[in-house]
Amino acid sequence: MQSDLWLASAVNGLVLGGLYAATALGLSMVFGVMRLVNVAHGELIILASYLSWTLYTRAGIDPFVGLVVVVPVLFAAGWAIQRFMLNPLMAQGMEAPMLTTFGLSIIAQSLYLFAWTPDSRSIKTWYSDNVVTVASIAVPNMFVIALLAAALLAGALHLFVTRTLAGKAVRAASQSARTAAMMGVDIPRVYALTYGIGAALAAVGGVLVAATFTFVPSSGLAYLLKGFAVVVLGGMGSIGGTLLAGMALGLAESLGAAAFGTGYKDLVGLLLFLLVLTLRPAGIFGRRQAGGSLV
Amino acid sequence: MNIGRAACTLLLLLLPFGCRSGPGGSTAPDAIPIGASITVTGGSASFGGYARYGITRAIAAANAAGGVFVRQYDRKLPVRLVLYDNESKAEKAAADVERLILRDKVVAVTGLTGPERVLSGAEVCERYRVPMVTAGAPLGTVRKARRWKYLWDIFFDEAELCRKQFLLMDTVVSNRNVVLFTDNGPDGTVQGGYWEQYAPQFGYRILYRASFPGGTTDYGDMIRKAQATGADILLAQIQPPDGIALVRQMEALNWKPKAAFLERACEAADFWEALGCSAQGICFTTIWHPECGYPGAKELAQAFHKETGRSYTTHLVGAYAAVQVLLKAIELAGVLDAEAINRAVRAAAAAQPTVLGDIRFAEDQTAAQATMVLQWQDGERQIVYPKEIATRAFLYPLPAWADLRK
Repeated sequence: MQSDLWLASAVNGLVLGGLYAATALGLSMVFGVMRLVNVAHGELIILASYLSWTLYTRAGIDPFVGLVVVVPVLFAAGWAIQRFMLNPLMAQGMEAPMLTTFGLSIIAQSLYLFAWTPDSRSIKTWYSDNVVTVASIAVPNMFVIALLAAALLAGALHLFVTRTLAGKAVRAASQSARTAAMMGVDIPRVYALTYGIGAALAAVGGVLVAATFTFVPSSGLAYLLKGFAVVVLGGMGSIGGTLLAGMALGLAESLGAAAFGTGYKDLVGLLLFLLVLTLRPAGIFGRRQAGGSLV
Repeated sequence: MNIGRAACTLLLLLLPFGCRSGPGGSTAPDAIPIGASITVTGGSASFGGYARYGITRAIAAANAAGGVFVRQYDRKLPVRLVLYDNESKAEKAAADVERLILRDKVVAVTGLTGPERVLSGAEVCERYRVPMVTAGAPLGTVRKARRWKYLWDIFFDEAELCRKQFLLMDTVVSNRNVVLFTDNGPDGTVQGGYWEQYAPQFGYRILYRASFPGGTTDYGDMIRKAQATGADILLAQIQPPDGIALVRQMEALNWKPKAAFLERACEAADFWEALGCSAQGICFTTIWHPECGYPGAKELAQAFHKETGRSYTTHLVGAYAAVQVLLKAIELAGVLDAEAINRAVRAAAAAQPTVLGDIRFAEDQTAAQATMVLQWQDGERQIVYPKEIATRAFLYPLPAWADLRK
């Protein structure tokens, strides 16, 4: 294959990785703080995609302007899920809340089917299907926007957990919920805030998905699985790690597709995933510790 | 013996005869149970909505006419539909069919779509010797699997589909170079094989073939490689959401072949709804269009649109036609016995025109319907080949992306 095709694949893969990171940040946040595998994360992403699509098709609201509505709605939904459904179960270990999120994901898919039909949806704006060309390498606009969004989100999240009081409470809860509680941190409240933030991050990911690809009620699973790979690669709860792992996964998949064909790109990504798990079980940027590492 | 006792004795003697409803002598059931397993949820849920509507409407029409005449009972019986959601999974489709046969005691099965589900459901029908009449899987895939005794499949023949595409391309000037994009499901694998077989026979060269799993979102690498070949023709077998993502990325990376055929992906109206004018000129091959003039078909599509707000696909009409054949087979069999109904299916198809036109089953129990090439033009699906039934001229070459944005 020509070298410019390799280069184009590498650049596109790296940039596409931004989208993977954007859709995985919320999952990483929830796992990092609560050690909860949020199986409904993919459905939160797709809910945001549908809300954004509805605003765009019904009211002509640009998907990024629509974030003003979609992000608070998802935050509120996430907060309520944690506050009223998951918090009462947290004392029984992580299995019960995880199974609850599994149930939620199935219910959500059925609701989406009912509300939005099984038809394929997509948001097509004036800017979404163009490219940015740098040194003769064309990269879709949306991939670049997704990477910028992921970097912004990761930066904002880092500032939140390191510079704000609420963020410090979240970080304390991620390191040891029991100790944090003894220090006066309201753990159920922190958990509800964390899940709400996770859902809000999923909202941004969902809008990016809607404007970049297509989606149907069952599309969430693919983003959940990709998100898991990114979170594990990056290190559970590592914000910067999630961003870099997304890019690494995008790069590996893209080069894998260039070398072996698109049919094998997921295989290459999964091989990277297994390799990292074997060599660094805590992930590339994870820390070997019992508690979370939300930084 | 007084008159009263004599009357009572006579009544008791006649009672068993009074319970009989027909010459056969057995008790008539309340209804004829028909089973269906459709894709209400899961990745192929969009097909399920069409199939459900087609099946329920065909059964409602039969019941409105008093039901199906069953000679065994010398009267018409209403049809009762037992319907399950197979969640777009092959294993669930097989479980559904088994449940329909064993628990719900259906006399025939219909409604399955997609080769993997049709084949797994049909295996169960073969085991229990219950007929399945469906319009849900390309015929080559069905024939390749095994020799069937209880599966009756009405659809297009992949070889004929290839032939029509190449014959259409022969009507215009191209560099005769082709790129193939096929997903690695049964549809894509079989169809890709036919394209590879037929392209050289028609004088076309396949310069690049990409195979990918369903659900792929990033097609950048395939597109860049295809672009580098300079091929004029794209032939793709790809599922609906993926096809939309593919076209969007083709637009983003500014690759526009002169002709593009996206089988399976672009038949439903959501393709145009999602892509708008970017879908202009994209083709697919099918076996039905409202302008075909088959009895009741246009009305069916109109009723569907009126009730659901959605536009037709072949799955809507195919599901209806399969039920038409099935109910006729029950009538011809004259008994509610699965074996007898199975024996009557071939004659039933030949006995009546359906909303899908005339259906003639071959020896291998597949019915190949006439194929036609449709092209998206200004938001409508137009027949562009064969010329005798064309509703619009073939739009070739495809307009440049930049022109479509104006």
